[in-house]
Formats: sequence, C-alpha cells, structure tokens
Amino acid sequence: MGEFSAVRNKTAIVGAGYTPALRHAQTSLAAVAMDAALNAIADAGLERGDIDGYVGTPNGPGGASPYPDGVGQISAPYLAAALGMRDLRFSVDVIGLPSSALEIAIHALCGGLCNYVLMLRAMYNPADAQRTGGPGLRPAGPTQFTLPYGVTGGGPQFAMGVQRYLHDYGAKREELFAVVDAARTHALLNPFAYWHGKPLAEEDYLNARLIYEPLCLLDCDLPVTMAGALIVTTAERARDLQHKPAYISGFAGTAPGRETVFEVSGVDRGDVDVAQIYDGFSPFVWYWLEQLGICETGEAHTWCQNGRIKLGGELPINTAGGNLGEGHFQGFGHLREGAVQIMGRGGDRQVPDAKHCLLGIGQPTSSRSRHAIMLSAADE
Amino acid sequence: VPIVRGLEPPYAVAQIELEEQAGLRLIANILDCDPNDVRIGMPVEVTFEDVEENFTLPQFRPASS
Repeated sequence: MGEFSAVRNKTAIVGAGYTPALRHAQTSLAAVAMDAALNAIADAGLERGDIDGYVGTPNGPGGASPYPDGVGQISAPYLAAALGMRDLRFSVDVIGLPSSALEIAIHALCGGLCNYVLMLRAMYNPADAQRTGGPGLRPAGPTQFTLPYGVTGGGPQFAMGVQRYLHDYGAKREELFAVVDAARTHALLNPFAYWHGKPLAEEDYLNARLIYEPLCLLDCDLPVTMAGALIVTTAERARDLQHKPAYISGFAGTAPGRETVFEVSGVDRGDVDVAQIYDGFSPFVWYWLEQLGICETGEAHTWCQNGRIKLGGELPINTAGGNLGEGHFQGFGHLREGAVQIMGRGGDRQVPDAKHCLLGIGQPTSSRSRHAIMLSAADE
Repeated sequence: VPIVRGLEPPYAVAQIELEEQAGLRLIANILDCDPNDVRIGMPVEVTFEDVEENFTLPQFRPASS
C-alpha cells in the first residue's frame, strides 16, 4: 500500500440531493441550493443539526458571480445562515473543482475536524447570461495573445487540440457522436437532466452547427441553473446510516510517476463497472480514457464505438447524462451520479451490481488540474 | 488598449510553431487563405495586420515559397 492509500475507504458519500437542470434561473440561486442541501441531509437520514462541516464551491466558471451572494452564488457564510447552521466546526469555500472540495472533505473527516460534511455546488445561469467573450472584451496580460485572434474562451483553445488529435490518430469528428449519444441516451433516464425527454438522432448531431470546428454545438455542454449536494462522513458513521454507502476508495491526481487512482484504491481497471467522466466538451471523454489507461493513447475514438460506453455496454459512462446530457455542472453531477450508482439507487439507469465507479473530474488538457476518484460499494 | 474587434466567421485560428525556436507557438489567424484549406503542418510566414491606428497584429499566411 502506497503513501496515499491512507485515504482508502476511510470516508463515504451517504446522501445526495439535487434539483432539476433549468436553462435559465427562475428564482435566486438560494432557493435551489437550499432544496439540494435539505434533500441531501434528508436522503442521508440526518437532521440539520447533525451537519458540522461544510465544503462549498461557490464560483462559476467565470470566477466570482457579479450577482449578490445568495442570488448568483452561495458562499459558506450565506449557506450557514440560511440553513441555521451557525455552529459548524469546519466550513470552507473552495475556489476550484468539485473534486478539490471532496478532497478537502476527506481530509477534514480523516483529521477528525468534523463528522458529517455537507458539500454543495450551485450553478447559476440567469436569463441575461453572456457566457462567452467576443467584441467588447479588452485584451489584458496573457489575453493579448488570444482575444484579438478570436480565441475567446476554452472552446477555441480545446478545438485546436481536437483538430490535432484527429490529425495524429486518424480520428473523425463524426466519431464523437458515440460520446454525445451515450450522454443524451442516458439523460433520457434522468428526469432532472436538461435533455430529458429530448432524444438526439445521429443525423441531427451531424447536421448541428459547427461552433469551433471540429466541435459542433452539441459537443459543448449547456449552461444551466441547478444545484447538487452530497453528505460525506467517516466509514464508521456511514455503516449506521440508512443507505448503502459509496466509499471513497481512491483519490489521485493524474501526474505521471505519481500513484494512480487504481493503486490508491486497489481496484484494477478491469474491475471498474461504471465511470463518470467530465465532459464539458465531448472529446474530454477520449482524453480522460487514455490518461486513465482504460484504452491506449490515440485509440479512444474507436474504443468508444458500438455502444461500449452506453448502459448495457462494457463500461457505461456518464449514466446520468454528464455535462452533455444533464447540464453544465462542472463535475459535481459526475460525483453525485457516481455515488448514486454505488449506492444502487440509479433506478432505470442503474448499472446492475455496480461495485466500483471510476471518476475523472476536471479538464484533461495539459495545464489544468484534475482528479481521478474511485467510489466502491464494499468497505474491504 | 483596443477593444477586441468582432471577427466574422468563418476564420481560421492556428497555433504556429516558429522555425526559429522549436516548441514556441503563437496563436494567430491564417490570412490570405480559405479557412477550409488550412492544414496542420502547412508552412506559413508572418504578416502584419493593421487593425486600427496604433494596433497591429502579427498574423500568418501561407508561405510564399
């Protein structure tokens, strides 16, 4: 057992709450955030007073919200006041990925700082949202090298990388449909997904407007308003709660030479039953699968074909729809669905007897931070 | 500092590796070329685009030779 295996199965996700993905906010974000938080607490079979830890990720993709606390984002103090939880023993707002928040929750629990952590992510997409750049932006600092050339955000930068991938590995943009198809098919089984009830035919995908060639509109996730919450606790406490826990068996970065999530968790790649892979843009799933060693470099574009990543296939991916099917949730939906699958509570989209769920959270491109996580059913 | 102009799509954005320094890449548009004809690996040369007064951008176009 390596140095970081110390976290193996020490903590577990024991409750999940979420709200439907709405294209635009109908209310302040506080309303949906409170719903998700209270749902998660109730789902774990706990009372508000049991919660003594909080880890939030208040910021949206563009940084701090211009709207007031409670309207456009939910800070830890706001949440604590709104829920009447003023006596939290551990409370922190994380600027970063939902997986970074989970990492802090794990360590707070392992360090004995608190017993039950509420994790919350609430995304706000107001009716007047302007999410991409364009005319009117002023280049400053590093953006003087990108903005004047029409590179206004992540999309154009990632698109160049995808173009290179297609070139180097003989892949075709049409092969990305397998990723989008899995997300959209699974979203049909998730009533909270934005694309629930809206099936996507291959022809419609292929005819969709190109946004950043080779990426089309449907390769990009959709900004939404939604909230999700999780309850995380120690393995000892998890055993006494009402649902089967989703133990956090592995947590790792992806840097070469470091312990992999498979080494930390002791779970082999072949034993993974289901995966939740961050898909802010569809090709991220290819990159993640290759970086995790699920398939060889340059092979993900063919590996994903023929239903392999759909429910019923060899490795179902993004069983709640992921970002592409559920909505732009920056990986929190992946965490939540991973827990739901391991808890055996996926309903129509449950992978039978799912024992190990692999998660890849974050952008799998060179300079971005990201985490690989394993959730497991048995506390072995 | 000038406000970013609105580019009319379609336009080609590329990372250009400099012959003078391998591994150093610039982002720029490929001018004087149909975006559909831009290919990975095609040789290009620098050109300077005067966007407005006191605002000139280094750009690239297909190499002349």
